Amino acid sequence: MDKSKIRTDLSTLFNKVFKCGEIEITDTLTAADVERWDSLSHLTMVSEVEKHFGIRFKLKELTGMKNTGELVQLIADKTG
Amino acid sequence: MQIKQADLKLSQTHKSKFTLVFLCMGLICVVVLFSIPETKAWMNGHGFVFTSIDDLQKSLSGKDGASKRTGKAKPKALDTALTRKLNAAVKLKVDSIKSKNHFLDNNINEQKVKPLDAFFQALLGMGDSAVRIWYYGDSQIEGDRISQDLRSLLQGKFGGNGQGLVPLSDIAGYRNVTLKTGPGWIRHTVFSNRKSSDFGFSGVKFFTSYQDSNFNPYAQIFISNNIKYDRLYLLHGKSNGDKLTLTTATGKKSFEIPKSNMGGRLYLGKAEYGNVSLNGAGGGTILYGYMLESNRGIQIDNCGIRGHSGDGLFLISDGMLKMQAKMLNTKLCILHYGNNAIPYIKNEQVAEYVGNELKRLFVKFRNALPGVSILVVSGGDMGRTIDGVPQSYPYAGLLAEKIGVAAAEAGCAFFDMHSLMAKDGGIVGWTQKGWAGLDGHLSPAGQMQFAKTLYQELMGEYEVYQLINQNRNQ
Repeated sequence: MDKSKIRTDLSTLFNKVFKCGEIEITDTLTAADVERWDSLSHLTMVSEVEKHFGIRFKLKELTGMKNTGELVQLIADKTG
Repeated sequence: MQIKQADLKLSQTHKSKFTLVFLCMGLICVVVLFSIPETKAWMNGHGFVFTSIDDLQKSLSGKDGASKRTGKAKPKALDTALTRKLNAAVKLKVDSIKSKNHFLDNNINEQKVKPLDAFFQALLGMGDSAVRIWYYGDSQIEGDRISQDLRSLLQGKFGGNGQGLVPLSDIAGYRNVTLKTGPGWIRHTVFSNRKSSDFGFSGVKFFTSYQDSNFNPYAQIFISNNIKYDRLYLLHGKSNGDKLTLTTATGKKSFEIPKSNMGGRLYLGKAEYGNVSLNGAGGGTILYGYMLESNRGIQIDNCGIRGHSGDGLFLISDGMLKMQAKMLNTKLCILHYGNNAIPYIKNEQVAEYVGNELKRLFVKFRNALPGVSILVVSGGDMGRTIDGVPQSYPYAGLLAEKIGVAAAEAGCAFFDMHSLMAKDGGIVGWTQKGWAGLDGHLSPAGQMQFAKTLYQELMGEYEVYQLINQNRNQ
């Protein structure tokens, strides 16, 4: 899937999960930049991402993710 | 020949009977041996986990009234080492109390101290002073839910009155106070405002949007006559010496909030009822809330933030926690988190991930507050409807178990709320009794049910502490 489409979809999902309003998904965006993004809302976000893109993450992938750029890359890899 | 064959058959029958009797006796010995608490504890301490048949069936079937658990017991061998030194009569009493405590685990930590000892020691030496409890959690406790019942039970035994810390405003409603702030006051929480700083122990702070000593923002609390309290305070953070006016039914009073980097507690006067208004503090002072207190007995502050997982508490500096705990004589911190994660736990690994995240928090509090007992309360049970049938989420029990392991590893006491709910059929049973909603939130009756059990088991452990102390001093 095209990375720019992934970023647009993620922006909508982030808004839904973190209730943070419109947010620009950049590669360097991290949990520290988004209010309400904590360890548990991270799980909610992952669950929403899995549902939306029809993919599954491994726990290692979730805990190893450093920023949104890596999340976008993972989604791109999994969706082909 | 026929006789010999008959003899042989008879002798074989005898042999079989003898073997059967021998096996039965062996089995009885093993059962008796395992029923002795010391043996069980020794076995547990040496890596053998003794599980009753009932427990084993429950853990294998995953039908412990709610959802899956691994059924692994936590080691309690050191506990036995301590009670071994007790005289027989005391030991009997201790064992009898312990046998009634099903959900509270006061494991001995690596310093060979029971996590609740600091709290119990403070209760024992309380005299006419006050001992404080900070109760942290998410929407399960917001608006003084659960904490108000625990407070009333503990104040009934140890004295004291009041409601503790009440924020200037909240998204949750309260039973006995109504909160209002005028334009100018901004509320930040450790959950919603992660780039903010200068939080107090509650994780909520209030500051003004426009900072000028002539700016007089307004805040008001309506205090119902249902609350008995002696003194009204204002808990504040850093201050530039702002002026403040208090308006009540009995008149107006002016104050200056002392200049300070860390803040303190300002005495506003004796108990007031009805509308109590504050004007001022617009020059950059940070406020945490009103305190409705007495200077004796038990004080419990509710620190509930809706949607919060506990992570945000890392934004409270260790220095602030230390300073405020010392100033307010806080001796017990209750950390009650986990429910928000339940719907997202899909396997044991994810449950472990959440447990590990929470462990970091338990360790932070344990290290920041060395003279304060830390009690971890697991999330309870939670459910949803599938094909019209209400059901528990499958991994709620497993998550509670992982939180219990994290608490023990961090040297904290642990109360298993999930097991308490499982005893009465989990969330489905609790909704049928009117004690909870399917989303896991407890009703007033459920809150009291939970608070009562927590209180009873805490007091059971306190009695054990007293018995052991008396035995030591004899």
